[in-house]
Amino acid sequence: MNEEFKKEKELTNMLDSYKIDIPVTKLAQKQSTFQKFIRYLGSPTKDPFENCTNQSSGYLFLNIFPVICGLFLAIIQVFLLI
Amino acid sequence: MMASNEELMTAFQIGDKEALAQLYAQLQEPLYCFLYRYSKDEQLSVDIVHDSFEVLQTKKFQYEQHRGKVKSFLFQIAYRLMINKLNRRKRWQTLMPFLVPIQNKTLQAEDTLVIQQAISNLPDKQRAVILLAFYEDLPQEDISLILDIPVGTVKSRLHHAIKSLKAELKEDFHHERGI
Repeated sequence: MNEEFKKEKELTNMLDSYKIDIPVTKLAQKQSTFQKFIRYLGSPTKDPFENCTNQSSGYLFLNIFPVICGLFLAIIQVFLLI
Repeated sequence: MMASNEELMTAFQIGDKEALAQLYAQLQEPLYCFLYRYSKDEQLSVDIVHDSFEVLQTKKFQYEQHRGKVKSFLFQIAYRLMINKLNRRKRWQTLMPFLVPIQNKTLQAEDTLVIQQAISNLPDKQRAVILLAFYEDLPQEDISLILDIPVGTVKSRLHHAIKSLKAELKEDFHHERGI
């Protein structure tokens, strides 16, 4: 053991209690780059619209927004035809 | 009798594939433990263990026995890979925070969580030094080789890390003593 830790009995005891479970099966099989990419795609991520969907007004906005966009595009086309 | 890592590496440099398998069996666990304690990410640690041994195969002739142990050489490769990956992940996290995968959290004992948190709270540079010095029991010369810093810097970082950990775990010391 390093000299610095010999004087620190309490700290050593506490650090010793940090044990780790080794994932033996995962370590035994190597994944290809493609498999890693698929795993990355399939891994759960944070919802980017979490702030919107938490509130009812935000949820309503997410539903109405595509309709408003559609109407806006339709109106532009009407003006272009005139 | 079990061959030393250095003997196995020499055999592997000559072309013995079985020696690499034995080297992997002997070093995968300490390497995984170091990576996991540093990053707290199981999958990242497993991937880096695999990648490090791949790099070891390509760089096998760069290893010279008089410059240090095989363990230090492998840990140096792994540490660099991990730092690069973590930096890349941080950049992605800044650009697209919602694309960062959520990590699976495992249930752990309260004591382990306290220590884990205290170690995580240390600055990155101090954390690496304390993990290598305490858990891997590596001499300061080897740590300086792995982290590519002078031995004096290793000493000062270790000193500061111990001081910070003691301050962080102070309440738990008192709790254990019943104060």
